[in-house]
Amino acid sequence: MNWRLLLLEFTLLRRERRVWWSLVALALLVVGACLVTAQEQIRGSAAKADIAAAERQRWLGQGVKDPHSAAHYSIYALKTSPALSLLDPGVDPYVGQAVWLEAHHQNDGLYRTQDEAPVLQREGLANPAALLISIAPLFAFLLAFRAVALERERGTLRLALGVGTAPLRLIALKATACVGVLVLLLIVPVGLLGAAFCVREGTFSTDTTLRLALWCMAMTVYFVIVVMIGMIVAARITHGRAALATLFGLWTVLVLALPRWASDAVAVSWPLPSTQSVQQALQERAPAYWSAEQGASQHAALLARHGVQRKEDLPVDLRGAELDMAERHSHDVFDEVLGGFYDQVSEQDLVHSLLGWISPAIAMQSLSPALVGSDFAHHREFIDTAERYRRDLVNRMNAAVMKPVASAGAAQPAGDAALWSQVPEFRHSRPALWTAPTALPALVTWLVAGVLLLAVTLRRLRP
Amino acid sequence: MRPESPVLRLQAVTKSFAGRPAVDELSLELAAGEVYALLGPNGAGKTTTLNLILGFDVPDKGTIEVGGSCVTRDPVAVRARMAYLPETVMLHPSLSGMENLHYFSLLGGTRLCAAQMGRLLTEAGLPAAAHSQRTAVYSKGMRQKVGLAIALAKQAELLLLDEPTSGLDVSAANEFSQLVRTASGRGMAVLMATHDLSRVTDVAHRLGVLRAGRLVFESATAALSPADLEASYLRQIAA
Amino acid sequence: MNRWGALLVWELRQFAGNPVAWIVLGLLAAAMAWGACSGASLHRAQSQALAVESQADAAWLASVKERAQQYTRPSAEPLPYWQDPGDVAGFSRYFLRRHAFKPHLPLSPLAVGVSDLQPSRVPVKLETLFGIAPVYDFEPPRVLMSGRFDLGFVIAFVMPVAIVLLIGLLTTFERDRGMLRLVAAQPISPRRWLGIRVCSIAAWLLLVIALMLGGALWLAGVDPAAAPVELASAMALVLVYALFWVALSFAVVAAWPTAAGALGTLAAIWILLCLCVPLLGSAIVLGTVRAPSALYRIDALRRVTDAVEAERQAVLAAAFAGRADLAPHAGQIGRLDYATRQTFLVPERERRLAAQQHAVLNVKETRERATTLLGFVSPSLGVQSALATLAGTDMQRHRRFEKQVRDFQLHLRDFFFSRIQQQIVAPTPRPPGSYSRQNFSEFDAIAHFRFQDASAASRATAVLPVTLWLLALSVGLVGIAARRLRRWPADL
Repeated sequence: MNWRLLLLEFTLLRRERRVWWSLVALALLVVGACLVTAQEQIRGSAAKADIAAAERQRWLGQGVKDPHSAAHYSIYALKTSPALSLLDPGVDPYVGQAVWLEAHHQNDGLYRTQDEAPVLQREGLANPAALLISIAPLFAFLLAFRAVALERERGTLRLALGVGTAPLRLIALKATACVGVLVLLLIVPVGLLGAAFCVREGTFSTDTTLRLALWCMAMTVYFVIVVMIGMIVAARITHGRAALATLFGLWTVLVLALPRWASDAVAVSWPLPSTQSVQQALQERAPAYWSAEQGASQHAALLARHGVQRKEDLPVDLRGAELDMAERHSHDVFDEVLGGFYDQVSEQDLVHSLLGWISPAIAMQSLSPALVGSDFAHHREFIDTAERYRRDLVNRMNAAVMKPVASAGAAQPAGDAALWSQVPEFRHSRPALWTAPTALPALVTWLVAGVLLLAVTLRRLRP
Repeated sequence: MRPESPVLRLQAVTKSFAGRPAVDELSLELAAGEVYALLGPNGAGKTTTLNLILGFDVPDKGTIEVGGSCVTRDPVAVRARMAYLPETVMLHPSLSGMENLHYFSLLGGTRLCAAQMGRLLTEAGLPAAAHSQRTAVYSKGMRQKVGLAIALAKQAELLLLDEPTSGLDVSAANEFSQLVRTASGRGMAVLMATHDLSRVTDVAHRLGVLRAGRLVFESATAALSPADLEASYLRQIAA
Repeated sequence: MNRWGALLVWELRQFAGNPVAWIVLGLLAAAMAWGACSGASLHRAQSQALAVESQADAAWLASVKERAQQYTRPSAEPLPYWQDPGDVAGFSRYFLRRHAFKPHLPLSPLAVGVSDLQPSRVPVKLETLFGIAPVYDFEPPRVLMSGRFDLGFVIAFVMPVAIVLLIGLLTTFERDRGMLRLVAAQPISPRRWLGIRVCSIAAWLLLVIALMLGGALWLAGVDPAAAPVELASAMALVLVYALFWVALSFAVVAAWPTAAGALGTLAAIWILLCLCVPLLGSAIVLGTVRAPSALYRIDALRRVTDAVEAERQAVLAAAFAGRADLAPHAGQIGRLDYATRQTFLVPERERRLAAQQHAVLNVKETRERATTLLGFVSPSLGVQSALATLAGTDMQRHRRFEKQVRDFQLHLRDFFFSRIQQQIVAPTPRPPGSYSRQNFSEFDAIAHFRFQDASAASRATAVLPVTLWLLALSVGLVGIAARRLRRWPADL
């Protein structure tokens, strides 16, 4: 690549005032969205840290009480926002940020950010990734149109080819300039802001660095793809008006309509069971409060399990054993009903990422939150970690209740700080990055197909 | 002047569009330093011929060689050996004359310093004051001069001109003729597609008349007076 | 027919014969049909869930009644109160199952609105603070993130793109082909020439859009007779919104740009109005109308619950002392069961959290008012909100629902709390040797929630300001276009 030529191409772009200032305006918008998202994240993370600390203190300082009451008092587990969610909050605003880890229940996450946000926030593509994935392609198409179709109409393409440059070299040069401008104005500032944010928040790590680098690379590849699509259309359709209309139509279909349609189509074609049916199944199969008849049958089952006839002969406390038995039964039900439900959500996400083959915007919409760590797979990790923690907590409490009393008729010993402190602090880790990029093959295919089609197109390029 | 080893050689070149021949069995040879004028009415196939030589189109039949290299085999490599000036030279309006020369020279594989570019532009007849002005304010003649400077910068063996004096005033056209003579004097073969008969006798060594894609008349210009040329031309295109 | 009429007819025929126009409109029709059916499918599933839940509630009550009947048998050991549906306190906490339902309106496929975020099915429990538990029906977060491909989205976002694309292309043909000079040489004013062209395109667009909207709603199963007022308002709103984009495009092409210039400018305006204004508005609203993170409510709730629990004796004593009927029974405070205690403690918790709850609601209302106002700056936002209002999927309807749920909860509390507390004053004698407590059997007297909806006329009235505003803007933009079209471009 000739740097002097590239510099001249940049000069050409910079001197197209409308194009340049539109791009600068978009860059400012992206940076603005990034700052707003970062501010929200700082506030949210501070609140979560405050509340998590307060919850831990409450748990440790709950005084002396029945361990099962403590299992009901329990704690709220708070979801830590991904370090880079200022780049792409992903599904985070639409999933619960706190879960009450209560005995007998695997509760839903509560306090979705979007529930509190004004409706207009949902309308405004209020984050950098949404702007880069949805709006930047329109600019990329306009740049490609300017670089090929407009130059052909002006006659400069003819002159450029006439001086003996190969079409592939010329178009590669122009594409590099277009992608370069997009990257410099749109990705670099956001990437730097992301890095600065991580440094400020103390979340900079190898994982974060890798995620940030991969996110920037994926976004660059996405821009390369859209610029190539723009150039292929502008090169193949010799009439400028037709090329422009086609590009505008392609943007509407590929970027504006198909991503929403894909999400919708997956939801319609692979429907989830209704929340009502899930809740009903849980209520029926693992009721929080059992009836007298259910209690009696559990009682009998316990005696049988321990091979005794009377509760006095049980090696464990009956109430504790009943609580433990019901709790462990509920685990199986939760795994089957809720686990199955969340598996279906993950399957939907997988199908959606496969639809990345029909539009690079879909692939990128799937890949971006996966790389940042704000997709459902990462949220599922939080759900599962919180549930494991809840089970451990409740099991510990039930174990304390199950301990046989020292002598017949004596009261069950209450739990105290020594018992509460046996429960470790809640922490949740993020899944490894390798589990994330299911949409990567689609994006790579778009890239390869784009390069091949562009090469074929350029063999027949006529000025 | 007959070429020993011609810079440009067309042998029985044919090109049709939708079954209608645009160029029909055209054979032509140009030697170094020779200026050849290709005449013909609108639609005679002049621009198609230039497109074929440039490799923008591929002939259905026949071969085109520039400096012994086949255009259809490697049009890009061959284009590096020739310079082309369209009827209307369109430059990047946001770049200056100097920047345009820099840009297109780099595209053609030539790296020039500022002094060389200034010299070339001056040589092409562009006033020094206009070198760093944006070409958006240039007249057509000024743009033609930048175009010629681009061609000169390449030190090409062959210069292709498509209606080079169309739309130029008399003085600009005269200046342009002088520049073509300069190029020829440097050993460049020049193929000029034109309507301008007066310019032909002024600069061309030989001329050919195309009608419906066929070369129907060829002569040395020295053998024809301006009046004979006009009469022959009218006779050929009316036939 | 005069010559201008003839020219209009010619232009109308040109549009009719233009394949690009029909490809664009065909894609728009497909998008509208999908959008309406998708919204209808979501709402159908939600309505089914309401019906199933309603049946489940009824089945549960029947089984509870059956159990209550069974437990009237004699037994040596009485049933614990939490397993006894015949105990009013036990029933109120462990057996009462009532849901409040927000049914969909007939025109709901028009816009998904907040129906995928806010619940249409809320459990009503006596102990839920302020009536509404923060529950929701799980929708795939990815779908919530990308937004629904519903009819509201297609109308607000995709339809304007189709309109600007068609007008940008079809009115710049002569300019791009260098034919404008020839046109200008004819005895016709630029205003009339371009005006007739735009009028013909607008006529086709409005006609086709009206048909597409009707067709999409019909495909989605909307019965026009079920919501004639809302349907007429929606039709008027959508057509005026289409007219706004036609007028805006007219004002842009009246400056005689090339197709590239026109489409570039119109795309920039689309981005500005549909995306930038909501984005900036959102940033401003979030920045100026600040509220502590909703998560702090967890902390407040926990603190207040702990405090009330710590002061339980004092709270109960004060409650007993404050009531002439209970004061003589203060000695029973220590023996009250958990459910009975909650009838005194829950209102106390609500009292202590009332200021915070009030502040939260205030912030929400202020933000919603700001959104409504921004709808006048960003037509897409205004139209989305207006369509949701007509569809009954708007936030205002949901707030109305929440308020009625709270009223219903208070009604249930009155019903149960009075009966539970009456058991302190005058306990129903336990039948001798009875398994069950048998102080409650009024299962059929428990009220059901009935959502009182706003009238169709009020919904139509609510969207009138946006409709009229868009109409006024359209007129203004046509005026700007007419002013620009006083002469042909200088560089013909």
